[in-house]
Amino acid sequence: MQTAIRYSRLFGYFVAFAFSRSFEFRFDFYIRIVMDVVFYAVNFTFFRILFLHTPNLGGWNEPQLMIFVSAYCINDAINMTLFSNNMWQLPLLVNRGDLDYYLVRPVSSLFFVSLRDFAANSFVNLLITFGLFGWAVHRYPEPLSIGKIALFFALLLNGNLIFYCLNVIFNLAVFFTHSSDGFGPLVWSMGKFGERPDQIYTGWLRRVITFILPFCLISSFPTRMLVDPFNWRILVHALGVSIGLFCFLLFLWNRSLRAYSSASS
Amino acid sequence: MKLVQNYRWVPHVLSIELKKAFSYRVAFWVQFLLGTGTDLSVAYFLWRAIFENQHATTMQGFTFHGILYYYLFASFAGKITRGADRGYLAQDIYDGSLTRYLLYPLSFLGFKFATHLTQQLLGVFQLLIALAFLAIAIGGNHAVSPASFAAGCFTCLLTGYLHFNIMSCLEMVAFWQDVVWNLVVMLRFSMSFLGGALIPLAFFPAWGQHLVSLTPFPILVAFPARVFLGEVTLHEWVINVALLGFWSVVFTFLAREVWLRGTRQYSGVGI
Repeated sequence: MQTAIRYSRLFGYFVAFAFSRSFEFRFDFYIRIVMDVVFYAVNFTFFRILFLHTPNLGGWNEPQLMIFVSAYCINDAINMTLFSNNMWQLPLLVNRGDLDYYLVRPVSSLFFVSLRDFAANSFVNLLITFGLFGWAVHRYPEPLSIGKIALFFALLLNGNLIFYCLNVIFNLAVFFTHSSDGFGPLVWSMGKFGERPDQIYTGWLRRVITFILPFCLISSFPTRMLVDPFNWRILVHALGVSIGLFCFLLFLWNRSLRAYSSASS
Repeated sequence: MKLVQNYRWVPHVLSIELKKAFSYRVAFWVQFLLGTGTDLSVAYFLWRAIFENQHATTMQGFTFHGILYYYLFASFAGKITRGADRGYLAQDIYDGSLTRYLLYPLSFLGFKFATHLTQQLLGVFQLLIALAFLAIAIGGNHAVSPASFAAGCFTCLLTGYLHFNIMSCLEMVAFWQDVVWNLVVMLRFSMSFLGGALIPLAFFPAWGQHLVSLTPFPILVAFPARVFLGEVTLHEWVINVALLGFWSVVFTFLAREVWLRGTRQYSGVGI
């Protein structure tokens, strides 16, 4: 319990520092908000255009798809707020040997590396994405129960944990390849699998992107929980995969730290 | 003759940049193969779902195979046009290393354009590999002719020049602001969507197509993609290249102005 309080307080300091720093760089603060709004607009418009040519996609109609798009916008905003800055810096920390300073601190190095740089500007975007979700739910033709919405958000957070794990795992390659960004950019490329409804994928690729590289569990599964009839398999599947992936991440993080040789990396 | 002498350094820059690109071979190939594989797979499954849903053999003039080839070329036309896509100038301004370029007897923007050109050549090389893979994987009668491939590559070199100047304008905002990567990412989003890489422009409603045609983005992505596919007549090509020339003049002038004002502002010690 005491450890949890200690970590919460530490995270609170990260957030406070982030807000004071953000107002030092006001141009960046506002432009990053605009950047993400452009991203959301592009995604919503993309599907609106597709629906001019088809009545449904992957078994979902347009209102259901709009909930799906708002789900991955929320996921993107959470990731941009909590993890993205830190993940972009990870390869630099490893290659320059700056990771030393994180390893000698009396807290979990993975916690520190993952959460130190909170993006206050993206936090504003997170609020915008909740607005988008509200809009998508408002125009949804059927009533959605509070229980289903609660499950949706629980699975959305779970999806975010999955994306975080994948993001770190891809970046950990830098410990071994010493390239400038590990395989970090790949997680963004492959993340496109998760930006489309999971039911369009079939065969072995579907198995890969729902079990091994589970990009489809990030936004599609929470949406299915909300708009489709309740299916406990989705819940078990999503939770099982995220627990397994997080354990794998901890194992890989420890292995990577053993391969780390400070500034000579 | 003097012009050739002035640009003797270009092959050296190309050679050094190629060495840099291949210095992390595993990362280079893995990122290329998985990145391209993902783009094509997502397009394949998305459009297969739509075509099956509509029981259609063609949509907006595209067959299913045709649309996959369009995505391949739109994706690579964008990639070749963009070149390295980041870090052209901003980093040199931030850390003060621009100073050394100001002392060298060569044009800074010219030097950066040569590095951009290397990334474009790498894009062409990767396109050849992807094309061979797609031809084996899905077949179809959309194999490009050597003439349209050469015309597509040449068009991409021209679009690359325009993109370099647009990027330069954005990156040189670093003379005044601390963070500019957001602007670059916004350009990428806009180029991908309004250029027709995310969804072919033929699927846009008529008013949307008209609005998009007023921007330089379709010339940067959809136009070279259609040249690769051999869908552009000589007359249409000339008109589009003239339009490309117009935008290039506008942004070259703008980049030059920003450069002149920025270097006046530049303190030489970084930010």
